[in-house]
Amino acid sequence: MNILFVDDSKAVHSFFRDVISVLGHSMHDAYTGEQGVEVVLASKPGFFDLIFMDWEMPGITGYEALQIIRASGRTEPVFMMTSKNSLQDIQQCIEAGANDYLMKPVTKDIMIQKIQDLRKASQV
Amino acid sequence: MTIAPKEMLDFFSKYIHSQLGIVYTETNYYQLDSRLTDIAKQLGFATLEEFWTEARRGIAGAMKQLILDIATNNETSFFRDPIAFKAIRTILLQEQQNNRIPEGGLRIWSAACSSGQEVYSLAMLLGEMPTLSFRLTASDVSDRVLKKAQAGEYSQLEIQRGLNALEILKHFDQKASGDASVWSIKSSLRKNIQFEKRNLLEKWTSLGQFDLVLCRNVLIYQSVENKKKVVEQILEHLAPGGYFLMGAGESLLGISDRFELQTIEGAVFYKKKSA
Repeated sequence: MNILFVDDSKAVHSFFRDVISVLGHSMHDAYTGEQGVEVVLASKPGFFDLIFMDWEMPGITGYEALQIIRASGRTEPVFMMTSKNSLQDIQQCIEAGANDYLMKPVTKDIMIQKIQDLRKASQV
Repeated sequence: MTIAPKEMLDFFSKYIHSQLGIVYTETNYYQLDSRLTDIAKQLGFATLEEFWTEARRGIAGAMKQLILDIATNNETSFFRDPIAFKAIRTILLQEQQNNRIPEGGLRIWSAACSSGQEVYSLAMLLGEMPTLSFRLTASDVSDRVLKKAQAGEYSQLEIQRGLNALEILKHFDQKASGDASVWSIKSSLRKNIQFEKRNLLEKWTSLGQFDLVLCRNVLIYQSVENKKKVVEQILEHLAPGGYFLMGAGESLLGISDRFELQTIEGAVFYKKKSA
């Protein structure tokens, strides 16, 4: 799978890069919301099988990036990652078109499970 | 491989012990070291030493959660082995179609329910089948885990194991608790579950009949003799034609021949043979 990882923290990219590559997927990086939106809109629809999007980033937030992506008609699965961890925040993101919501801190086993579940679902 | 100075690992091991009572011995320090290094990286520390220096000033919030998660990551998750749950759904639909639901509803037993994820997953699954009536029993030998199961309260990390955002929204209420929040199973899900303390190796009294018994990844740690004993008792409490489910890597080969093996949706079930 081609996975786009949008997070302003390089440490987070590096933490999950091992997991994603061990599972045999390609990780593509964006470090701001603007970059994330640009990469998604420039890609062929469906090129990215999954987008991990951090909510809190300087500039365009992940939430705003998600709104722009959905408003452009793009339907790639977006999993929002954030330390905003209330039911209302989750609800808000799902309503904005996120497919799932990962509450930080995200551990490797949860990341693996989320990726594998998505993969299985797309094979059915 | 070189590992971090003992002083650092002692510090974290003592902390885990003080919080959870779980002991990390020096023979497991290599494992502790590797997990702590992962966490340090995730929290943005360049080295384990930096992480240790910071942790000595106080452990709270995300740092605390990640450290305690090292020790409690015991493979428990909601919908663990999703294939099995898909198969259970298929079995229940079949039973319903063939009018084999007993009066009073289907009886299901999670025989080593641990902290409750299995039985609540069943309750979530059954909740999706509104025309099906059911009764769930969950038991465990440990007071500690049984209490947790009954309370139905989980940490943020625990609910994320196996559940997606929609399922979380649907089945949990959020409560503040210190610097973290607790996710509490909705009472509508809890009300159909009977929790009981039971030791699988003892004689079970006042336990009824069941149409499905789950006893996954438990007998694996028992001797053949004990396995036979438990399985014999399970048989006594299984209705004719009832199903028994073990863990994905377990088998009744050499334990009992009173079951018929059935593979449903890729999951292996043991169906009680008619006498």
